[in-house]
Amino acid sequence: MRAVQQGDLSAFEQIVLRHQTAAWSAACRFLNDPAEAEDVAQDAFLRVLDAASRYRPTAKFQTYLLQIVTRLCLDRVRKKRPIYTDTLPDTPASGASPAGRLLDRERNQLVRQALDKLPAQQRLALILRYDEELSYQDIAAVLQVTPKAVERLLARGRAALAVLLSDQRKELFNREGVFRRSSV
Amino acid sequence: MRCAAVRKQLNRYLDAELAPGAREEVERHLSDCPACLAALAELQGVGGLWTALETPVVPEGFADRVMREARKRTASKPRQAWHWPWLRWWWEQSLAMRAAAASVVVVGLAVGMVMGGGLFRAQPPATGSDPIIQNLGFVGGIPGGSVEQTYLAAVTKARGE
Repeated sequence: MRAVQQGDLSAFEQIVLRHQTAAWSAACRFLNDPAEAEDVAQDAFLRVLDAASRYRPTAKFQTYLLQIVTRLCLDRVRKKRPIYTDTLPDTPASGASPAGRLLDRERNQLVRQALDKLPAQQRLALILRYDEELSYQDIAAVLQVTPKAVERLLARGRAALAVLLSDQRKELFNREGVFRRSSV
Repeated sequence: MRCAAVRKQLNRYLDAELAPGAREEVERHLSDCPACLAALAELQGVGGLWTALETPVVPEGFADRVMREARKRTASKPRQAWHWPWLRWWWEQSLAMRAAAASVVVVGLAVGMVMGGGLFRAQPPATGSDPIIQNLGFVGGIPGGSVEQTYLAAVTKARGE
């Protein structure tokens, strides 16, 4: 960032390449829309560039970047309720049969639908914990809450997902069982 | 450890956020409590569903699009001209650093003024009959009388009148 502060764009490009996955995947998981996620991630990096002269390394750079990403995501949600779209591509398990891939796709769709129903802060806390593997301290810095609040968000988010998915998981489990028995 | 207390810590336990001592206590309880173990399995199940989700992949050319926009912005922004390097250094420092630097300057000036204060005191006007001292005293001190009188006195002395 020191180099970026001096106007070095190649240093900024290194930052983009190093952190683009974290920024884009967090936005995509939250917004459930690749096009919107790209807008948010690009906007976040450009804001980093615009504010480079004021940047102070008081925390990890990734935490700073994710703070901007989450703020932009929350702004989008406030402006409009994201419409669930099944546009995220499914990565099929290698060697999975068509029926197995169908089950995977259905399961993923159910999880994404359930995620979309969670309050924004709970969703963000789960994304930062599971996708970015941040500690409670780091999640607290990104969301600008206390670590205790992070614990509560994760606990409520997990409990809500478990309830939302419990019936669907039973159904899926039954169908998975039928699929396995029929493929033996 | 009671079930209620363990259940409150299950999320922290799952996320490896418990101190070692607390972690051992929870594990001891879990080894003996099927109900709490089932509650932990429920939480682990949520994590398992998450990790089974596809990992979003950054679209092709994302970094290039960001850099194209970054170059546009950098080209259109007028570069701030720093006439003095120290001004740029000052601008880039945090508020705490600026306050510290300003304090050092102020304290240094104050110490300097106290120690060198005698140099700024005005010389008293010269007294006595020595013409050199009188002349020097005239130059160093604040002479009495008007400007014309002072000039006449100086000219008269020079002529030896």
